Amino acid sequence: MNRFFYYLILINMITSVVATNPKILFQYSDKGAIPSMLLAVGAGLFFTYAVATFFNKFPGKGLPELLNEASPKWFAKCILFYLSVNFYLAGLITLITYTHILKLFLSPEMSIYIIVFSFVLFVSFGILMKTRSVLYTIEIILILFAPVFVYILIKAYANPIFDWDAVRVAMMQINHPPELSSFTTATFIFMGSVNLVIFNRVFTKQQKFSSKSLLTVGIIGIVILFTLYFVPIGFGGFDRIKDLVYPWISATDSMRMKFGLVERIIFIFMLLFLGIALLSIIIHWHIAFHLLDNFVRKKQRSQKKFNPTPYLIIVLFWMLAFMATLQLSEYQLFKYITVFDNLLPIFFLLLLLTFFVVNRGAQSK
Amino acid sequence: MTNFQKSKVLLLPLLLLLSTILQTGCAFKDIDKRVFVAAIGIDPSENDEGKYKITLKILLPTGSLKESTGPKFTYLSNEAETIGESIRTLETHIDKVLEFGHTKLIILNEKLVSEEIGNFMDYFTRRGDIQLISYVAVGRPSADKILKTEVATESPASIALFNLFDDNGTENPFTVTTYLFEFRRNIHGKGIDAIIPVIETNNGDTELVVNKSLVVKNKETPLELSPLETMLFNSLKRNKGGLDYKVDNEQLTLLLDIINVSMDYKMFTDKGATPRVDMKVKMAGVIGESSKPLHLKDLDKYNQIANKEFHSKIMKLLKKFQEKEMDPFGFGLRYRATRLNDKNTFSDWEKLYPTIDFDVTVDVQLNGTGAIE
Repeated sequence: MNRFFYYLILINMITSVVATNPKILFQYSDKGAIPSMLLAVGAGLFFTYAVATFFNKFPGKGLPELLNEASPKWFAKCILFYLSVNFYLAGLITLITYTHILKLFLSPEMSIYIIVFSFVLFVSFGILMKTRSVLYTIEIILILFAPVFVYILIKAYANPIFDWDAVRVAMMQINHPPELSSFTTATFIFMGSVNLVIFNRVFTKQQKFSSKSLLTVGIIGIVILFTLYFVPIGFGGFDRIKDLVYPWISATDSMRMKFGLVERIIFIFMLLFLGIALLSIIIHWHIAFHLLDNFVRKKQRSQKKFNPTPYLIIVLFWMLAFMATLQLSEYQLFKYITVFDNLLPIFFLLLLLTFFVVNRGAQSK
Repeated sequence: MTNFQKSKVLLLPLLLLLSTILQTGCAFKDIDKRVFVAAIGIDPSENDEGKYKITLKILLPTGSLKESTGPKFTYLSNEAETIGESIRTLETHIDKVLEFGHTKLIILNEKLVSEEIGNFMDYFTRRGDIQLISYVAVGRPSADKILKTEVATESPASIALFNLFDDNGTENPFTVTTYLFEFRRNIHGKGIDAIIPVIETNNGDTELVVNKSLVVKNKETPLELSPLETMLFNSLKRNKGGLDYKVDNEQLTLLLDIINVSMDYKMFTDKGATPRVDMKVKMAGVIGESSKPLHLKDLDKYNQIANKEFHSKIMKLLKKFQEKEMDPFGFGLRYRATRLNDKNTFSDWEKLYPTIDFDVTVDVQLNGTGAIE
């Protein structure tokens, strides 16, 4: 697979680190989190494999085109709508979570409108960008931030106050049956490959998802999942880790750069994760936008005439984002995210069904 | 390019420029409208006005570093039922916003430590704007007194109370540094107890002295460690070198400069046998002072003397913790970490801890006798 495929997966993983995924996992830290995470690695890799091999069969084509060619219209419309809602929600969750985080830790006095506004403003540019340009944006930001991320990882694991005994206590909770919510949340970090539904449009060269690709995704996934779960435990201890609302923010606030320009790593971390989160929202909403655009579009749009549809969709995105951010309390947000994650198996099955239908349609032609 | 695309090119720089309006600096409140709280002190109330007395040490800005002779502080103090209430009241006592983002020290009164300290301290974690890397300490005789002690060595832009703990100013094994996150982790953690340094003043209130510490457990009387015990604990648990240690023998008195310390332990809890902790301590250093001339060829002999001395001191410290059922080393956590969890793991350990045997091996490597033999 080309490097952009890995970027898509990586962005999804890194975003999950700060979002609510660790918090959901910690709810089951003394129940079934560890076995669920182990299962999730397998499920996630299988999912990645299924998605990648499917799209490799149709280089240069996104899911909307494939559906239009090879499946009944009603089916195509249903799937497109369902997928676009899901992608929009995925982006929205990131947006709301980060708005809460900024409000709580970075600028408690700033109006929530301005925070959301500054997010959606820049995201809107990302949505309207060409798909290829989005990929280049991802590359630039990732290259800028990757060293910082590695630095934070080293800083965390090399910290003398990092309590490995607490980590081992958490590992010893392996003798529990797995739990659905923790399983789906852990699987979510492997969902980056599903972004191919639109991004496959620019992957025009024939590619192969080899065992080496699988190994790469597997190793990165395991490292991120391990970090995501155990770093907050190493700093915050095992017994009361459930109490932390943003375990990762607290974990980075526990690291100190003795001779750094700023002593608190949390500010570097915030910058890094804001960048990555912005990318993640752009990716998800870019896809949601294109899927929705294909959903409402009847025939090929003429190039010359001005068409208001894209802007209407963006206005819709903005309105929903403002309403949701203002309405939801942290508890509700947490509850809805759990529901969203728990619906992942359905999403997965529907996607497999779509692949099957498209494959059959393509063969019968 | 169509007209629309052209206008998009113009629109983008315009929007980017407009976005600078949002950048008004410190979240719409300039730095001169804020005061920075350097440290928070909490004492039990002196009058009947409430439960706690909160003292804030506030940094005053100086016009220029060259002209000022030292940092200037002001103090705010108030009594109330809760800490939050008290801080809220203090906000009405000052014309500026109290900013806790630079707070680096939380000083507790000794009397508060034996209360339900864990949930009480959660206030600071809950706030979000207080650093989790701020230091926690006990002030003696009171937090208020320690905060108001101004030390002669304080220069502008360097605050003595911070220098004591930040491993950047004074670095010595007598000072335990406990961060807020570490305190929270250990006070709530089952199988490990928190340890916090004690700050005292000398007679004339001109110096701050930090060489003792308290082992703290929820709702229990804390266990005080003497300077020597604090130093031993610090060098074993945190591998802090730089300790000077006096060794007395019938013939000679040595002062050892231990530069490196490393400690490792294993736990054996096989059924049938007495549970045992095997602790291996390695130390390396030089001889700094002696009552008699020394011989380099006798270094092995001096090693033996030092081994014996450290062995008995470490055993004494471990026994002391065991007797009081305090566990700042975290043996209980290690016990939990090495077996599959079930709901009795921790209660098993609580029964086990008083009966456990310690087997300490000390290996001191003295490398020289300093510049003279």
